[in-house]
Amino acid sequence: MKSFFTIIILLLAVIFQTTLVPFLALGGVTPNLVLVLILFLVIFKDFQEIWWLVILAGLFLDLFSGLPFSLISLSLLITAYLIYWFNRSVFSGAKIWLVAALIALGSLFYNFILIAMAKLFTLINLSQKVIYSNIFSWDYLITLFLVVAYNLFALLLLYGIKKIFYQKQGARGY
Amino acid sequence: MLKKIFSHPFILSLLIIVGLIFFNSQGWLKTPQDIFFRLTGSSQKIGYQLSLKANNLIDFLASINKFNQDNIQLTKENEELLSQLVQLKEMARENEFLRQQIGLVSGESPQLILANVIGQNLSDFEKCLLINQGAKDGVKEKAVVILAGNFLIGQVIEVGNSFAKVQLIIDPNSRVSALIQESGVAGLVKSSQGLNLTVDLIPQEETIREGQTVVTSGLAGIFPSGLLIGQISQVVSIDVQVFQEAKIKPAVDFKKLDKVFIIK
Repeated sequence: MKSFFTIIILLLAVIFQTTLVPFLALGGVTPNLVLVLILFLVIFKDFQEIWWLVILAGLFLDLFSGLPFSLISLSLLITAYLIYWFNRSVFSGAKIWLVAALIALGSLFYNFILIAMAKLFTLINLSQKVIYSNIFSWDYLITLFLVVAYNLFALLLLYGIKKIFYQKQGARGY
Repeated sequence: MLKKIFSHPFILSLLIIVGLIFFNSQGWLKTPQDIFFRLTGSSQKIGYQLSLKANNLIDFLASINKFNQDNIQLTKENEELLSQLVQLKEMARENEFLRQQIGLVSGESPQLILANVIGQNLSDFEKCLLINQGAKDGVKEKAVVILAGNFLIGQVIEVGNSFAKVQLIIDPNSRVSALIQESGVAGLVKSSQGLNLTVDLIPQEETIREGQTVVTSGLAGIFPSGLLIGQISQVVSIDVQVFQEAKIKPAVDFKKLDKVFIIK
């Protein structure tokens, strides 16, 4: 039952990402709520418990995306595992600034991996789509900076919701 | 040992995704994809419409102070457009008369399919739309998508049975052969930072000005000619470069797309 609700919440987050979030674009950049949610889970839970959620979130996003199928799933999976590894091996803790640093790092990884994978897919003929985006162009770097800032803002919102939720649970004596 | 490797969640996840890539390449995921969009399509549509309405309301409230100024400007523009319309009607009549004289048949207007936008993917890496018409409605891959009034939106890149994905012209990987209507100078329109466009590959010796109209040239054979892209908002010309470029203010507000037409 818990898994079923988790899937529904994830699906709602994806629908939210493709319906409401585009209207929040600033300079053409939108926060990636699903990425933030997955990284948040990776930081606070064991990868063993949530690996299937990472695949599912990636697949949902792939379905809505115009990019070659499974490109987002792969990028999300690699990013999630890298952040999980960083969190366990390099720096760990539940302090907000540590979580923010990991989310920022995750956002950077995700976008770099996405472009690299897209170019690889074209190279090995898994996709006919020509990828013009250049990781080292100023345009892209500025966009990336905005993405990180926006994702950190989304993290703050998520953190706030989590805090309110736990406070209410505490008040009810759970 | 091998069992331990394959039971590692990361390796297992990778294997599942590779399996899905294989299934997709064989076309076996088309039906599940279609079922997914049939199940989520209505909630997607409701969610998108609500977001669009909320966004319009916020824009309306934010622009109340500008109404008077906008009204004066629009009245002036309307007068200018009316005089242009009279001239154009006269030219169209003359054109029709001349066509009849030399025995030319008027071109048939293209057949259009109306579609609702049910989702957008305006991420930093791709700008794409999800529409509620698919192969069963006659939508084909690479079909051109426009807005009422011949405004170019993009091109269909993926078609399911009851849905299709449209790559917008503001997608970083989109390229459109275009020309500047007033001078006939050809160029290549591509996306720049955010929701903006630039027209590139314009020879230095050509003169381009702000306010000129950019339309599709039809040269590459992908987009028909004469579809409106936008107006030049800034010319960027550096002497040492072979080509000059210009920033374009898109004619379409890509954040407010509701209904689009697909050219059959």
